[in-house]
Amino acid sequence: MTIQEFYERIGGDYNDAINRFRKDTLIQRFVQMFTKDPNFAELTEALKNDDVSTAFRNAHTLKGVAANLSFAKLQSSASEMTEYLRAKQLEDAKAYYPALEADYNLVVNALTEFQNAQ
Amino acid sequence: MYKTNDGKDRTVLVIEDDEINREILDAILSPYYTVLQAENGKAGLDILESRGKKISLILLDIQMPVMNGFEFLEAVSSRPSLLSIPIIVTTSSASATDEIKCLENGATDFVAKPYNPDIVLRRVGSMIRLSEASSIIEQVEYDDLTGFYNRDFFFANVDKMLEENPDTDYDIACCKLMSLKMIEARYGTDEGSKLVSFVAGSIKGHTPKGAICGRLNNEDLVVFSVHNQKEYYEKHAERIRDLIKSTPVPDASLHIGLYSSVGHNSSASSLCDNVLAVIEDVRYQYGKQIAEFNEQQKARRLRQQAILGFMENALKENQFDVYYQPKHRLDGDRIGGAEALVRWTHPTLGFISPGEFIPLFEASGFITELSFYVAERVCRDIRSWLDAGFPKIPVSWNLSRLDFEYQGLAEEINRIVNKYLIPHELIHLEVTESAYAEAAGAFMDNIGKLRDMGFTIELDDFGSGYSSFNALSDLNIDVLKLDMCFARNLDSEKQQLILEHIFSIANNLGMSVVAEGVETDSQVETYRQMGCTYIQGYYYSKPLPKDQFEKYLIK
Repeated sequence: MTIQEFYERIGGDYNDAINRFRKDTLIQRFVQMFTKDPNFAELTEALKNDDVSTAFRNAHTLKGVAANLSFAKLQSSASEMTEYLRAKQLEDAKAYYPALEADYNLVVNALTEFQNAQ
Repeated sequence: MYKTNDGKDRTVLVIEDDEINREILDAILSPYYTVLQAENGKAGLDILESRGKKISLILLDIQMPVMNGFEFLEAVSSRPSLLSIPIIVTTSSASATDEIKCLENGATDFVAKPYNPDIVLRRVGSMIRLSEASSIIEQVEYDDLTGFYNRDFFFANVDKMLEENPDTDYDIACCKLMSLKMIEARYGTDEGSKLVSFVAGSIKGHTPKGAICGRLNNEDLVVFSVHNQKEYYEKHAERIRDLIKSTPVPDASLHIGLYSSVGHNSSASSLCDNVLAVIEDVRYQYGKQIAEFNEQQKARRLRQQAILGFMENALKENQFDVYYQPKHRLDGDRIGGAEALVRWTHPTLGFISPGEFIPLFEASGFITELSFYVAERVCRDIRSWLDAGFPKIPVSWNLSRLDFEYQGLAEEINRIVNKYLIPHELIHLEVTESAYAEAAGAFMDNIGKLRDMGFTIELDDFGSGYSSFNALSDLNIDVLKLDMCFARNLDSEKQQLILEHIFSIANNLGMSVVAEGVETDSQVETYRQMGCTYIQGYYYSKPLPKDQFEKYLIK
């Protein structure tokens, strides 16, 4: 799997990434850090605890990270989650959570495959 | 092309909770800058406090745990040494309100996520260039003429010394060149400069190692040094006075204020305020050129600051009360008027004497608000007495000399009196000669207007200071109030002679006279024989609160 294929799999925008980072190696370096990014796990935990402000912060940060990595699909679902939480609509956020989780897992699974292929 | 790097290595601080975002910025910036990373505002602040000015720019995320971006901006805004560092906020929110809030709180610019390296580098580069260009002006640390620190840098260095050495005792000495303005006016600024650099030179020659010298204002040179024996300062002062005698400029005069073992809890600027204040205290004392700030003065100043801090609230919370002291009419042996006097009882400081707070209110300009407050209270009380059918008597209150600086003083008094529909003949206003001495034009103008409006003007404290008989004819006064100092020495023949003349002049000018401070039978008798109309003093009554005064009024 190439990095380009990885981006296709996850609904990402490879062109945006390469335009900004210029080099595949640089993109790969950042992309591989994503498996360790704690924001999604923390968001999950915060939603479980009905902790809206922490959940908002994590969703917001996740959105920023996804944007920086040109993970377009994840960015858009993280963005939607952020807006529910900004408005303190906890129930809506929880209802939306599975969609975000699906996008997140898509990225993480593809990333594992990509790393194994290297 | 992004390089602002002209040999110097610049450092950028990235404050962002997410590691990936930090690493991306690091990857973008590190070819051109040294990059420091902090995972939240608190960690960023810690780095800033240890590195301070060596950081050229901050990239700041807003949503972070522990200390978020807004809290960080607020913390920076209270630290003057950090204010000059440009801050670029990194944002992924489309929320314009957040961005405006950041700008209001001191952010310089934004970059949006996802980061575009070109944009980030251009923006960082131009921000650093801009701030470095503007700080060239700030970097002037020294006063050209003396080589001493300028005001801001003196304060900054002293504050730093105090903070870093909490166990060291320090002294401050300030030399004020009293006559500098006059010398500049008379002989030109070059001569003034010559004097300043001469004195600065002699100070420099005698200051101990490690001392910090500053030029606070044009005429104030100040030395901050490790605490030494008092003798040292006296010798030092003596030396400078000797030097003054040999100055190249005529008419030089110098005062010295000392503050030894300064506290570590005060800022350099408030320490210097204290020293300058003691110099002011001796300014007009002939031959006294050295003044020391001591514990007693410190306590006094603290109390003064407390009073000034409390005054506005005191007015809002109606802590000021108005008392009335009867003026007794000798010809009818009955009450002929009253003077309204302000009293202040503060919830924690207790009773504060007008002798203490009025000069402070005058110095701060607050006095006029109090004057209008008293006017309002007095008029309201008179209204209630008129409504209750009590005997109609004129009531006076005091106008401060500072009130005459208020534009439209007479009109405002007229407005208040009319608001309560009080006949103008019932209102007397007490003024002092000092008001005339300080602002003759405004004083005469307002007095004229007030009299035309039908109010009566009383000249208060006559005979207490430098009263002049000319003033009596110039001032258009209706009533003369003799200061209580006359009552005290009423037995002296000379005094009686003077008083007889005053009464005769007052009589000829058509003024009635109120004698103040009268406490005994014989004083009443003496004044009666002189033809005095009114007596005010403890002999008849002390100042009374409203309810007691009402009883006195209908007695």
